[in-house]
Amino acid sequence: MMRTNKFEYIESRKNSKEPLGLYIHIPFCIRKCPYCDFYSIDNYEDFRKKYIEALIKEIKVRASLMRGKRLVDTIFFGGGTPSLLKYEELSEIISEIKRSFLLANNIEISLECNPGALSFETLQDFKTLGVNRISLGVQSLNNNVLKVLGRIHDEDKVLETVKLIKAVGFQNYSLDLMFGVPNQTMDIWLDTVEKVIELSPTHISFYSLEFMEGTPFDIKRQAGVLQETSSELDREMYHRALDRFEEAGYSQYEISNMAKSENTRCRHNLKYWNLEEYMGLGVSAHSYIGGVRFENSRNIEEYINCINEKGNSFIRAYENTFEDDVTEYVFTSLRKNEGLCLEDFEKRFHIKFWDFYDMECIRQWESFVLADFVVEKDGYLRLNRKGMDISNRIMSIFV
Amino acid sequence: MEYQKYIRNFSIIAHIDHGKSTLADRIIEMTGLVAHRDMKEQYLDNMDLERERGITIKLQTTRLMYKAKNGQEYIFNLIDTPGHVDFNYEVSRSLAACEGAVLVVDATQGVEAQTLANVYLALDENLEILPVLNKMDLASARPDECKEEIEEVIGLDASNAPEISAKTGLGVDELLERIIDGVPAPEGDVNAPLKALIFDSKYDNYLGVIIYTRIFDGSVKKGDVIQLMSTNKKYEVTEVGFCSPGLVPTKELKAGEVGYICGSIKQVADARVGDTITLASRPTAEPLDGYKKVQSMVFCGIYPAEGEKYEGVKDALEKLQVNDAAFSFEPETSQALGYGFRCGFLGLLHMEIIVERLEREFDLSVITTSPSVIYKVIKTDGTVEMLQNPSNLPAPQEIDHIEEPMVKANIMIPNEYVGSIMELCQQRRGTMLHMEYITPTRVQIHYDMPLNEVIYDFFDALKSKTRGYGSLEYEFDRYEKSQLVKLDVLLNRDLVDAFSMIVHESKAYNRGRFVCEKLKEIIPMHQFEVPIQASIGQKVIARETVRAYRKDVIAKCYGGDISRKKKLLEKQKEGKKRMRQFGTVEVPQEAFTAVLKYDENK
Repeated sequence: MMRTNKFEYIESRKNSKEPLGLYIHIPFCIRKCPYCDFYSIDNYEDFRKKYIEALIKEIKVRASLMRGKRLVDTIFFGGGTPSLLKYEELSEIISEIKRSFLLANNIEISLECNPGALSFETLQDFKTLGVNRISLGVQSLNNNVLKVLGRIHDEDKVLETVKLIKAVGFQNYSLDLMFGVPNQTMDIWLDTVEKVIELSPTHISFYSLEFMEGTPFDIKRQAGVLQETSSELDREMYHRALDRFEEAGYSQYEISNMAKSENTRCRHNLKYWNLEEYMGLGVSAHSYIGGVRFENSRNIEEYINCINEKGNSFIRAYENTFEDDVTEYVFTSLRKNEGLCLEDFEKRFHIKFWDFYDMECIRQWESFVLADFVVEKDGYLRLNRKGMDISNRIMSIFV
Repeated sequence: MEYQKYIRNFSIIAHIDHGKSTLADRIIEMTGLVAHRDMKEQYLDNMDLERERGITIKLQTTRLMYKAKNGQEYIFNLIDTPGHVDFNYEVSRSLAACEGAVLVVDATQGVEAQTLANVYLALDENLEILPVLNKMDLASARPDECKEEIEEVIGLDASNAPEISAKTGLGVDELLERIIDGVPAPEGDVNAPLKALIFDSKYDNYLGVIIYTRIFDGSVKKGDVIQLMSTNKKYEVTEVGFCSPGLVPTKELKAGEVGYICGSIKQVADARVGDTITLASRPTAEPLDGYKKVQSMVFCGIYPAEGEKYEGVKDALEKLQVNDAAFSFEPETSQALGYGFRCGFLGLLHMEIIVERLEREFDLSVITTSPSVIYKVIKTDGTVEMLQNPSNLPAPQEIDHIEEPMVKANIMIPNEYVGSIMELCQQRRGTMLHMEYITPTRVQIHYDMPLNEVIYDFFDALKSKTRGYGSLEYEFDRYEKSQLVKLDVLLNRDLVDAFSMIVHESKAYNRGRFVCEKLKEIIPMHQFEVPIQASIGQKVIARETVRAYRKDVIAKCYGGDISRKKKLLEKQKEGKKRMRQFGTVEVPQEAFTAVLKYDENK
């Protein structure tokens, strides 16, 4: 029984007709932020022409390998700093996407912008080309914190940029924030929170600063130059912000994300948390298509050369097993406030959730239920606020 | 007898790191047995573990052909000796198989405690000792001072000692000639009844036990029925030969020769080091002197780690025992750890080696409990119990008193460390017997100390406090009445028997505090606060608390790199697997060894 299910599942996965998400990586940065570990370069002028050409070729080649023209309903330009793209460049990319794919009427096209590198005209260009969602990397509205983070903008620049976004007529935009930054006090954080509420974006992302291995921040932390925020303060910042944003009318839908309404949730990011298909294009991009996880080269020259030579720059392609899909589905679902829907799980995998996991797993889950970290209710498993604070621990039961 | 004139049986003795194995390599190479390019470094140390630690644990013996400058060919039997204080008895039996010993002294370091200990062992066996100064290629070599030390401390004439570098080969040819002149040829009556010494044995899957032997009288060949004199067990000889260093069968072994004997013997415990071999049909009247059955001095529990099978550990222990007569084990159970084994060792190093071999050679994951010595518990009813496992200590009202094993420890250190080492020994309940200046800068201190204090971390502490220059050598002396108590550890108020240890009353508070602090560092945060307590009976003497965890979250999960997040979660899960559940508390397995490790700051 089980074997047939698995086989059918793996087969059906190969011919998905669901709409696809596209992630497009623009690895350009005026200056690299010392905490960031996404791939980017600051000497991008040397590469931009070749890079855009390669990117367009990759879109063309990879689209042509799909069975028929796939419907695309989300595009996400991430970086780096996609707002450094020129009109012609973005125009060429979007034109190629339109040639290679079918675009859904209600398509969401997000573009990450840096307040330090944005003008009214640029924003207008983006809008003309179809971008309908802006994600602005604000991080903080306190100049000292921005300095610690090594950002090139200040508070005024953010306020000005948000005005421009509104003036150009973007209905849907998100502000990205960071807390748990060294020397950021609770008052400083709450001040930023209030200012953001004042700006009234349709979406807010807020993360606890992570010291990613190999980043200048991490090296400074190890050297004792930067102090990690205590987990007590970090969690208090998180909870206080959640409370305030909720009071201001936002509702949380994922560990680090809140939206004003269901319509303004980021549909592209939701694909990651729903184990839906997405194609990652550009250097260092990741894809999940037909049950296979692909990873592109993390070096721009290598990326360009590979694309020109063979049309892809995969450095890894791994076909998820049935078990891989189940566990990934589970832990990404649990990131969402809605949690994991047992019925959806069964529909997708043709097996009952608790039949897939063993007694030990159930025992551990139960211990988290008893300690009030998680809830099992109305056919959903979900983490409550306390559970989200320690989500790794809980998710690791299921991997 | 004529053939004996051309045989030289000798060992190399030295302190750890003074270059014994390197010299052996060089001698092997220079006598042409192994081509230079085939040399693995340190040929005689053939266990990986030995090579890594730079010490020789199990003996290897090698027969070499040496063509002397006078044109005559000689047979050199080089008998290697184990290089650690735990294996003194084995060293003494190896030396008993020789007529001479090459004493290697590091010319940059001088005489060390172990050098002396080995010299005394060699003198006990009436060996001719040839001192040599090694590491002469180093700029810091001070041969004249070392010669003086050798003469003053050991009383050997070192004026003509060859100055060599085993590493570069400098002076080794001269040493080879010196061996011919300095080491007497063996004697012995080839027509007398067989009298042969077992100086090592090891188990081989095809041959059974291989006995390494020195023939003192008579001869032995395939088909003979030999008798081992300590047990009177008889075996038919299936093969004799010598080691080159691979086994090379030969027709017979005769008086004065060194080689091996096989006789379908099932385990090394049946062919104990020091025992005398004779012929069943024509036995010798008296066995050789010096046989003693080695006794385990240190005990600890070995338990299968989470997910490991009891049977797997049992099989591995059996296999190790087959090859190691000094290692013993028997089943036991622990409330905390379930089914496992109480194992006996010569010392702490021996224990560490066995545990590492279980992990490396058998790919097993095990938990070891606090090592313990054997306590003599004298009960109120007059009976005496030899206690190996602290958890089995009878109730206080049943105990009249407890006695613990005492050792005589010789510590050799540069004089600048005398103060800190005396302090250390005092902390470890040592009583200084006397102290002597070997040279103006080197001191030997003799202590009377409880073995219990030596086995925990004394050696590490000594090394650490003397920057590696201190050396230690000890031997069992007697049992002595002592104020001992049982220290228990409670996690979240549950007693974890595997952590229980017996300590001196005066040390209980420090020990308790140390263990609690260590466990606090090691035990991860839980959903709830975890109190860690150390207690004597009902009385809590130390306490620490592991806070409940607050945060463990990946804030960002974007860009589609799900695999990386998943790996992180998997790693976390793996970490959890290596945990051991005690009641409600999860304890990483390294906790058991960590509470025993010497910590400079504590």
